[in-house]
Amino acid sequence: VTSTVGTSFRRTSWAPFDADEVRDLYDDYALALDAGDYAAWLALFVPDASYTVISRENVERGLPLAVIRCESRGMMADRVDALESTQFYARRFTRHMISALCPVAHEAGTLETTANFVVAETIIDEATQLAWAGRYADRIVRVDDRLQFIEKTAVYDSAMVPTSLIVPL
Amino acid sequence: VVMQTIWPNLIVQQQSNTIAMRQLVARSVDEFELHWTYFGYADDDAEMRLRRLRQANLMGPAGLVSIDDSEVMRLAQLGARAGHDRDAILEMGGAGVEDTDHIVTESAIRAFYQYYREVMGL
Repeated sequence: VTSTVGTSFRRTSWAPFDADEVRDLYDDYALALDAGDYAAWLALFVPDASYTVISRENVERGLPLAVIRCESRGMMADRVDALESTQFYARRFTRHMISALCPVAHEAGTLETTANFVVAETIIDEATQLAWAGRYADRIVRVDDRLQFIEKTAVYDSAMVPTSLIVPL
Repeated sequence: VVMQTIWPNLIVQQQSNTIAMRQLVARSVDEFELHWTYFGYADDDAEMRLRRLRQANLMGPAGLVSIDDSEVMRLAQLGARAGHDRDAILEMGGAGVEDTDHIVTESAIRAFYQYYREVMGL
């Protein structure tokens, strides 16, 4: 992650992956989260996928502490369960904007990608705020006839979180 | 869970095997930052280190057990400043700072600010 989070820039070929198909995976990711369809969100990951949300500050300092650290889709499902049934929070809407999608490496049949994200959050009765900006460093694999994330790390640029991170980045 | 509040702005906590400090940093009359510092021990083995990192999912701004607290306090703050030309007062359990044998009271909050004002010369 460290090498893909900073100012470094590299690009490799999409092949054997298809750029449009990878783009669709990211669009589905944004659509699922912004629709609150967490089952669809989980379905974009393989069962042993990892999902991490970590500050840029910690990545740059080599510190492993993440605000969300899921080492499997099961741990992600636990978070979804908490979101949907136990946690209290003000109703809100998010818009995930994902751009500058770039293939950076191929390894053992997986494709490493980076992408920028901006997440606008609108809490009910409040003005929309640009809550998060950062970069994904991901690994994608083809399972049967579709693409899924086997690894996803969202590195957010600001050390400050606006109160809470409810909807995953 | 063990929580130790050190007046006026430090909280030292243990939740399972995560140990951390929370520092309140006032930015203005209606804004503050909460700085979380997690730590371990120098002689933690890899397994304990991983356990602390995993259990950190419970706490912090996306914490499984801390989101509720942050959100409730944010809403309480919004409620307290609802009247732009009025002061809000927290009167649950009366208006004083006396000790009680229950916790259905905001006495601790009133006492905090009473002493804070005294120390700050307000």
